[in-house]
Amino acid sequence: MTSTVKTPVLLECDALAKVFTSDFELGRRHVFSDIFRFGPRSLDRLRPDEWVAIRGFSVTLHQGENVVVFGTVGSGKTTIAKLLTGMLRADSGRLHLGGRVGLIGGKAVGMVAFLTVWECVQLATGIHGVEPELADACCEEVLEITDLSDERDTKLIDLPKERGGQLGLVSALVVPKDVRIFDGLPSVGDDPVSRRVSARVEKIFDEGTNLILSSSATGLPGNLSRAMILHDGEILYEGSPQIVAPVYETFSYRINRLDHMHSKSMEDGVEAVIAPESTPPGEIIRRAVRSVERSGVAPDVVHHVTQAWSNDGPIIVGPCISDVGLELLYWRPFVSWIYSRFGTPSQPVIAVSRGRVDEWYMGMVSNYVDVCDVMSFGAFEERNQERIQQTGSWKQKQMSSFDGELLDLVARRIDASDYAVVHPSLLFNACSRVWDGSLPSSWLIEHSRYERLIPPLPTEPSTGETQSEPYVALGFRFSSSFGDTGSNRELMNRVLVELSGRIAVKLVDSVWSIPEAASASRLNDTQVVPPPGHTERQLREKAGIVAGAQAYIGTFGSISFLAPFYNVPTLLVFEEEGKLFLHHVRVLRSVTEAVTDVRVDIEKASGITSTRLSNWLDQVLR
Amino acid sequence: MGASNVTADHSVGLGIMAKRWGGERATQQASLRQLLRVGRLLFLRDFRARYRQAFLKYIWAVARPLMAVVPLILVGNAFGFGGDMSASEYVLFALSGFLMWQVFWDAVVAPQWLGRRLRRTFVDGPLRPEAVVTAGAGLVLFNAMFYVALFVAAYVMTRATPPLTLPLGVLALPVIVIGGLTIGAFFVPLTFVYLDFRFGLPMLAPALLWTAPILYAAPETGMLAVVNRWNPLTYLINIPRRWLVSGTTDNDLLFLLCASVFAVLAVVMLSFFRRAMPLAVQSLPQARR
Repeated sequence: MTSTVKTPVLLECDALAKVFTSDFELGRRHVFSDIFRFGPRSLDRLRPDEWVAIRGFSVTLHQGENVVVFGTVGSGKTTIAKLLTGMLRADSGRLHLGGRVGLIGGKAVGMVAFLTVWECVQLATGIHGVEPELADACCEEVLEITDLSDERDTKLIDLPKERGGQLGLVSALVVPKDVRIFDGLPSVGDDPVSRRVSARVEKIFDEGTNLILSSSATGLPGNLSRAMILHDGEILYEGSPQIVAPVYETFSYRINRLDHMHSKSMEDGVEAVIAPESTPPGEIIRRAVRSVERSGVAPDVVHHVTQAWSNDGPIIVGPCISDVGLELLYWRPFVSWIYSRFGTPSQPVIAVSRGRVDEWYMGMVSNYVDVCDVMSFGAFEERNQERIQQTGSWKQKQMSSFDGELLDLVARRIDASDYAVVHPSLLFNACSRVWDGSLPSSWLIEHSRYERLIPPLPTEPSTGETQSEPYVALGFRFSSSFGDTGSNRELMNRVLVELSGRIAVKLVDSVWSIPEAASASRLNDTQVVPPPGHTERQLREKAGIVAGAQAYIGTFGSISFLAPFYNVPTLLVFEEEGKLFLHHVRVLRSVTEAVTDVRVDIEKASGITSTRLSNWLDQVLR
Repeated sequence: MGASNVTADHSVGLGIMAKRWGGERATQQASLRQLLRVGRLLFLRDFRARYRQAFLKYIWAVARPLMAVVPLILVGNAFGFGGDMSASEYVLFALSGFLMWQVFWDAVVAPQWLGRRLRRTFVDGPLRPEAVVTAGAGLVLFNAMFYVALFVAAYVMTRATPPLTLPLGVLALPVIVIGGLTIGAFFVPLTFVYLDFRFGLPMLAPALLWTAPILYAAPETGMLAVVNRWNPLTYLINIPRRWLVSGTTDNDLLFLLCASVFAVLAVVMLSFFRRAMPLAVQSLPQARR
């Protein structure tokens, strides 16, 4: 027999709405008249330039519950947070608060430079509503968490900026509240202060009664009871977090891509005629929901591998001829998962890839065949480009005629007339379903096994004097996450010059202007080794450089994903969040957790200052 | 926000006009204490900010009213503003009246000053609007300490004997402060929207000062007497001033009436203020960035 204990409702709002005015001057006029207007207003009769920022927002939060509201940038999350905490006044709707409501927004409210740390914390906790009798204890706790107990009498203006950075957030966190509204999830690093902040946030999440407004489905507490998706001020979908989170991931990815494409077309001066724009957000959600609800698993993967593994003849896994990043993050771990799930078959298994990366499959498959074993490097490059043009994607989402041709050539080489194939399209189709929300994001983790990779064995005797000299590998290349812009080029050159000032540098990619690299080398009296030449062994040579490096810095994506697999401290750079493929980020984090015990950081290009770079190098080049 | 068990029914346009239920006296007391604490902290923050680059620091706080009143007293004495008062009586009369007026006027403008300095904080954090009023009260009380010291010095210098009603005059000061804050709180949200109120308010000061018998003996007839009679400051300031320097008057009960009116007005204004502030914050340029 079970019994249900009803916990009290601590926050309940019904059909909250908020209207804003686009034009600032007009907005002031409207506000002025609203100040003296008593009585309800209708959302159906908007004044000039008015728009409904929040429409019909309702939520009920019981004691102990955590509810998340997902929303992309500009969806109305902060407006809701402000409405619920009384910072803004709703134009219609009802709000019932059954306790003290706190706002966790991360902003340092009320702090000014000429106050001491203690005074700032007193003020900030006061603004967040601390009871006078608890104030001193809360302030002490803030200083303890932020490690500023010895600096209480220091004026904020004299405190190094990075030391006071968390004061605002922690001041909001320590004030006792019955309900907390998180306007975004606190972003914290991995220094001791950040770890204490994270622990505090986790404790608050464990206690429950939080409404979390977040643009990301990562970093959320495990004890969520409900989730919603907010877009343009309206709740488009609501349900269990297990369903809503993957739906939101798909939704936000598509919305961000559409925004990106739209702004790019505007920049390029092209009329925004993009087919997906005709899909309304509600329809994107509906499709994602249908897909997620329809398919909890991808039975075809297991079925297909079972059939291949039971074949009487050799099994070919591959050919993997797509982007090296996809091979590292998805394909190689998937092959490893097949072995862990189905065991080693009695028949030989042949891995087919390119770039002479035998070691990546060593110890797993019986044999490795490189595409350049069956055709020339030039022919492979040409045919692969044709394949990409024909299929419209780097990813091998289908068995192209070139794939078929390669398989025949490999079969002939191993003298097999009857062979089974586990083709990358099996995985990449499943990946697409994960990325569009048809499959939960956990599917990939469940169907992957991440292992450290064996560094490539040197095949030629060492000729360079720098063979044993420590170096940092630099792998910048232009991509969708790091465009060919002046500021990115400036960043690349700055990183190169600063790096070469303290350690030898080996370049992994050829996007570099070698004269600049050479001048940096001459300037700093250190060696900058140019990238490997464009040959069939290029990938192997690059892998060798990455594996032997003291640290790796490069663009997020492609070969940069290799460094964590070699347990090399890694700093991956991207241009802006909208250009970052979040599924890759999530998988890379899983990789990092599984195979590395060194730092793997993913950072925005604008954040790579000289100080940041220097600090990062200090930490990894010990 | 600190208040608990609050229902705001926006559909009927009452804004934060809230229904509180349950035995909430303790909660309300805690809420008031919290508000006073934040007000004190905000006052200190503002005070530090204002004088942080001044060499003479807080001396300016007392110098300003002193420099304003001295010429008035000299001119008033020369032109016989005090009627049949002696010169030393007029000094006490004018100084006490002016200082009480100054307390009132400080209370009118202090919430507005503090409010404008806290615009960013209002946009970014859950600062309770009422904290501006309590911070303003802090500023008024701080200035009042200097005014009281000036007043005592004037008593010593003129060697006058304080009347028995002097404590009544002191007790009336909080009423004057609340009266000023009530008017000041009305203007805070308005100055957030249009600066015209900030520019226009100081222009009202001379009109209010001279239409009440603060620096001159009240005439019994004529146009000015009529104007005096209809100006509430005549009762709010003139009667307590008389308690401070000369004793009871025939109109003492009118002060209580005036205080009652201001008490009712304060309740109405607080409701208006709570409702208007979130709207006013919304109109700030900082809220759009």
